[in-house]
Amino acid sequence: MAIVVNLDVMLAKRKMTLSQLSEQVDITLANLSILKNSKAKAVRFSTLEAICRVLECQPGDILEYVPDSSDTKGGS
Amino acid sequence: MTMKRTATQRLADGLVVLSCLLLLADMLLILFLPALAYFRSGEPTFMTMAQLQAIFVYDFDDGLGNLMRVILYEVWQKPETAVLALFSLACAVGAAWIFLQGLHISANVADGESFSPKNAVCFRRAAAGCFLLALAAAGRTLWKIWQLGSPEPLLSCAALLTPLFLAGGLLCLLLSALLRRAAEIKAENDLTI
Repeated sequence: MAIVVNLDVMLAKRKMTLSQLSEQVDITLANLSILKNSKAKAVRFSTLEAICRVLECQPGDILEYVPDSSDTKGGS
Repeated sequence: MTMKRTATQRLADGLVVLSCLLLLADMLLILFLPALAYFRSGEPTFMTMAQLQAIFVYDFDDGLGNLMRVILYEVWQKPETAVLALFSLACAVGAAWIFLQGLHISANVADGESFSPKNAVCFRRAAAGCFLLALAAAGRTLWKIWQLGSPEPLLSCAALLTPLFLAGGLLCLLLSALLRRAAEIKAENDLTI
């Protein structure tokens, strides 16, 4: 998938574990693990808001667009 | 902690019990259908139903032997009784297959797996059972038309069963496709964090 989730990077910066984040945002560890491994199909705004609030960051710090190697033309 | 069962699950529990009972009754009926077709034909050459009942009262083993002879031999001697027996057996087998799929679907819903690919497969199998029943009804109607040489059987109940079960089969196929799509949407939703 072209959207990469850099949750582990932010967790390392904030010196927080996934379990601690799970308790603070009230999302199960299993679901956060799915998100961290970029296996999620979609993310709700409410989830993104909760994570950004706890990690004190912007959505762009967690989500990154990495174009597929087959994309040769840039988007406008 | 046990989760409280929803109204849908309780309904499915009832359907599981009902489906089991229907399936058992159908399986028992299958054994005696050829005999019923034979006695219903109106002109039994070997013995009548009243005679068989009398023999059962007198000697159970003798009665059972005569019943087996009717089921395994006598009913297949005349085309009319043979066709009726085959039609009845096809209906019973088709119905049993449909009841079995209904049992599987009810059990899955009772377990909380309403939108699963398994239920889609069960509905497709139930559709096959409906089409078998429609085919059997159509076959019997055509045979009666040929036998009587008139279109009168088109007004019989067997003729009505053909479009009825055809529609039932198509409905089951539609439900199968809907459930398959619902399962895809659920899987996608389960991966929405």
